[in-house]
Amino acid sequence: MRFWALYQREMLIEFRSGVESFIPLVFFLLVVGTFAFTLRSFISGDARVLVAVIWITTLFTSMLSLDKLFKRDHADGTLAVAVLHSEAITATVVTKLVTHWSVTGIPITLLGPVVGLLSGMHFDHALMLGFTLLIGTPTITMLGALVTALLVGLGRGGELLTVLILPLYIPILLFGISVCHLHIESASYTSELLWCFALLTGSTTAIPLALGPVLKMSQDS
Amino acid sequence: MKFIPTWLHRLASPQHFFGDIKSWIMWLYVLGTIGFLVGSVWGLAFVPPERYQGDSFRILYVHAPIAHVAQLIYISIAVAGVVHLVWKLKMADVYMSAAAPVGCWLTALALASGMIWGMPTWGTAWVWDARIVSTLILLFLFFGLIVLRRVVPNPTRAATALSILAIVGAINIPIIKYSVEWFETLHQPASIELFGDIAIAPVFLTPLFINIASIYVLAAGFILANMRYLVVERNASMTWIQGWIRGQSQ
Amino acid sequence: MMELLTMDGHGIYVWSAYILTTCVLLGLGIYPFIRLSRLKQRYQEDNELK
Repeated sequence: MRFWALYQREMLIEFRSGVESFIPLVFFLLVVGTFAFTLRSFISGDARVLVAVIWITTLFTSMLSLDKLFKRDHADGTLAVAVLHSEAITATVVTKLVTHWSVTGIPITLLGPVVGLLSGMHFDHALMLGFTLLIGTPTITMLGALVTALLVGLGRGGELLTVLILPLYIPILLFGISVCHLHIESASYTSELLWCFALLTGSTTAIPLALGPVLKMSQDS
Repeated sequence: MKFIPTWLHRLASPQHFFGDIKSWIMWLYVLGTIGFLVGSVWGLAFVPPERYQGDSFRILYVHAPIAHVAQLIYISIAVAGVVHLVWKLKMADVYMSAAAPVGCWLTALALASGMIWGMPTWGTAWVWDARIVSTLILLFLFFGLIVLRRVVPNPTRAATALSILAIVGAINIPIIKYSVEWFETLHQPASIELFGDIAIAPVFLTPLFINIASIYVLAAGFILANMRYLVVERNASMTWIQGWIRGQSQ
Repeated sequence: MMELLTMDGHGIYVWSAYILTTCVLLGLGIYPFIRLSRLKQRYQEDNELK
């Protein structure tokens, strides 16, 4: 119940900001569009290029909104209160993660395959792209949130965050793209898909637990 | 049995560490330098040319040991991170800060010597080969550690943040290697095999092992020397450091 | 002797790799000591000011 109330509050804040809540989506479409237009001769011949473009843009979009993940709660002191109680901090953290995923992950998961279909991708391949994004976006949110939590309150976001996170994103990116590519080439992709699931389960179980202590540390200093 | 815990215990305190370590560093430097010279001269002059690559394969004797040790340093930083998180040992934090720049330089060096090696053998300095890409990512991981250390003002928090990033990175290293390798074999089937179909003959191996061992020893020396500096920097107000500054001891 | 230097035209690559490695290793070995002596000097100057 507590979680649901917190989630509603977070989502309400997200959508109260009006046009601003569409920035990640517009960014996603803008970057995919720029890539697709400049690489159009490659994309029309090979669906694998578009898959890679959509996956990479997903990473960028996710990073873009990470910066503000804990910023407001740190500024108004919510975080300082929440870290005093382990149950409270866990609830806060899980809500934050789910909200971030709802605002960036879910729309991209839906939008990615649509962009693929509109650019002439085969329906099955677009479906697989959506499926890998569904597995990949929560993992991306988790890893990003962990690194963001390390930097809470330092007044340093942006490019520093990007440099720290991008190397950690490489496995999920490559496995996600691999699954789609192997599927397009009608080869077996079971092991790559299992790796994606392994990364998903590993990050979703370990990171929410680690975030509490990390955030507590950020409030001590 | 009693001997080992005693000296280890002594090294865990900054004061004893500072007092004891200088001779250790000198011994490691001497040993590593001799080993490196022997291994390199052996590899340069006394090993026959390789069947496929001629003489350029001799770069292997500086390239491979450094790439190997650089990777190991990252893992060791993660181990120190665990030690720091579990036991709050001060020297573990010092180790992490001291080892990160050494690892970063060695990784860059491995990449550079690899590029030099690539010119005669592949005809190009850079290919997006699995090993090169995973080494490049390792370089960025090291860079991230160094930057994170710099930007976090509170030392306790910096150490904990560094531990966490190092641990997450170290969990990622094998996965990065697998993912990059699988991804590459998907797209460019077997373009480059370093040694073709030959198994490495023992003639080629001996100097390689000598150099690997020497780089281990030298890297240990570098890290300890960095730790010695950091110990002084962080304990500047202590009386034993003050004594050293006035030239009373050490 | 010349053969060791030129190595069938590969000499320039082999030797540059070895020289680069040696330089970086030397730098890594010496720099901590230079830094430490600089730090010591700075502390000594600070002490004199007091």
